[in-house]
Amino acid sequence: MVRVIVNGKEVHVPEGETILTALKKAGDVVPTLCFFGHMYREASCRMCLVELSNGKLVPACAYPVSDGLEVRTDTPRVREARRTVVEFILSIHRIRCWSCPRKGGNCELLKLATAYWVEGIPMCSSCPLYGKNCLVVKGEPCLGPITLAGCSDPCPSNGSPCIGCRGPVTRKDVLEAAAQFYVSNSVELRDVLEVASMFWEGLPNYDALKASLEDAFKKALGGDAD
Amino acid sequence: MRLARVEEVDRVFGHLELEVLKDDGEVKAFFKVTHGARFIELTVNGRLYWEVPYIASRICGACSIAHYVASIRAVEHALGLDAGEWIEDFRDAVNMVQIAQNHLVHLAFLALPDYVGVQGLSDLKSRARRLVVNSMKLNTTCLKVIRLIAGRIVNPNTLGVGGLLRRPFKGPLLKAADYLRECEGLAREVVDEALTLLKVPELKDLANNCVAVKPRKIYLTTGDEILTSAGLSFKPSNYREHLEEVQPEYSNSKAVALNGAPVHVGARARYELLRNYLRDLNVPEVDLSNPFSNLIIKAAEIPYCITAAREILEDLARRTTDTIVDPLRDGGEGEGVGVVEAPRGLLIHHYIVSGKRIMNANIITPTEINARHIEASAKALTESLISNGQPLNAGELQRKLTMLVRAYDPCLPCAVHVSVVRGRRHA
Repeated sequence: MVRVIVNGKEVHVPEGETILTALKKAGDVVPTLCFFGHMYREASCRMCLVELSNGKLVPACAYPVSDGLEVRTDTPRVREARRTVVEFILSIHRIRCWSCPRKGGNCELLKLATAYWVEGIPMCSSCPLYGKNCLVVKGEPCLGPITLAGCSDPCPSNGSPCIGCRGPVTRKDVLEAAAQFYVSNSVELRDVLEVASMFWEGLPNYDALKASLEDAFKKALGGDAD
Repeated sequence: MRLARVEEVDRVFGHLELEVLKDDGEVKAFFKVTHGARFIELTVNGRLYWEVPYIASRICGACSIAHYVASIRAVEHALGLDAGEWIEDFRDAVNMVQIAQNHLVHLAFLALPDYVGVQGLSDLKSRARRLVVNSMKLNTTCLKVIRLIAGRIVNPNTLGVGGLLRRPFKGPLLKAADYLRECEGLAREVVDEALTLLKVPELKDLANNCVAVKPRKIYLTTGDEILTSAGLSFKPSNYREHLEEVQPEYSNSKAVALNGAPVHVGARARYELLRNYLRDLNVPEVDLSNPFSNLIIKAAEIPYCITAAREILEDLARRTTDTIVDPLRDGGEGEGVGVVEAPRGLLIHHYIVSGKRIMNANIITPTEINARHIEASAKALTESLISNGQPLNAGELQRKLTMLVRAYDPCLPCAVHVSVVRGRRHA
């Protein structure tokens, strides 16, 4: 057994185990994405970064413990690093939340993005309306696909469309995919902008957003396949 | 000569200044709303009609359901839609729960400290701990019920033009009814305790003019007729012939007169005009010409609302229904007025719809209607204190004036919903 200090708390774990085991024993939770027990521990997502006493950031799921190791799980550096990790992951993630089977509260990425203040995931990721119940599929100009996620979807879950009060997603690929989704359900750009103007008209980037939405719709109507 | 000036009336919703002057031997009171203008009527102009309830309900966080229902009814009247009885009943039930919750907050947390002789809620808690704790419990239950059946505590989103946006299931309706049944006893306890503390001062206001909505069914349900204390009744669509809006130079809000005279709305007006509809509203002996009696009737309405809402919800659960319609999206032409008894009294929403858009909007809120009546009452109060023959105690006058304003329970964010710039109305 070796002695490990987790956030000032002392725990004893068998030699050869990883920091993650020590953290679990200390009752601390760090987010893990790629870690999967003994089957996968390559530390490729870097979500579980923790800070050692010498200032190094190491992945908890792979770093072996040693006697007297001091670990901190919630420092500004750790938070900043994890935030960057979420940004990296989201930058290569194909965001199509409206057709994702994980939508409606099972999206781990959404939880991390909300926890570390990373923008880019649309409302549809937490919307409980699937398939033909989806308001866009019904033909309503619901702003879910282009509004930032983070509220608990009180509007769509009560049957009224999202009116975008949390602000727009500005990522171009998401806007293009959303435009594709709108067009395939014959929702018109005019109607979407009508609803969007209620909360977004005064935003400093509204004109740019409007232009990119118009482009995205043009592209979608032009028949460019997703 | 200035007799009294309350720079900031505390424990009301919003910002308000009250001034009483003596000019040429005549006492004059000024109800100055200093809350900034909010341009809601202007925002609504040109919007699609089904968005209007979303925007209109943002006028007030405290009574958003009343604004929601009034705007929905106005649009429905303009388009010639009929939502059906089930949905009307449902709206009434939600509105009643909101009224109970609103009255409770006003009575226990805003008005009562005056009568106990303390400064605010935290002091009140040390004097009447049980009352405060029970009120909070009751408040929580009311909000829970609103969330359960209307979707959200503030700005609910299951109600829509022409119907409901989500099918209400039998389970939640019965669960809400259960919540309300459980807190009926608590409500009566709270109100009884509050009434023993409420020793209202004597005052007679001279102009006892009032209006209220004639209910469709029982007390506090919506309706399509307005009753006045002169024994008249008129259709909401004719409101402009009777109610006249003027813009005082000194206030950010408009003020309303009924055929030229100050008029009041609210619990006192309802109780006076709707005597035929009172069923189990247990009101102790009150002098209705006393503006402070508003508080007592408000207190009595709390248990009534909870019981009535519970009965309506149980009834609705029994005939759960196929009448739920999807929100309608066909346009139309027309002009419609919706009236509702909000917690603070008569609320009027008036829209002109053309195609799918709102071309013009006019909203009259209870506080606007009460504004001139508060001035009249403040004048009466000051005169009664002068004519007592004692030297006028400025501090005492100021205290009584704030108590008087709080008895009317003004809501200033509601009052300043129009666009006003230095006395001129735009749009």
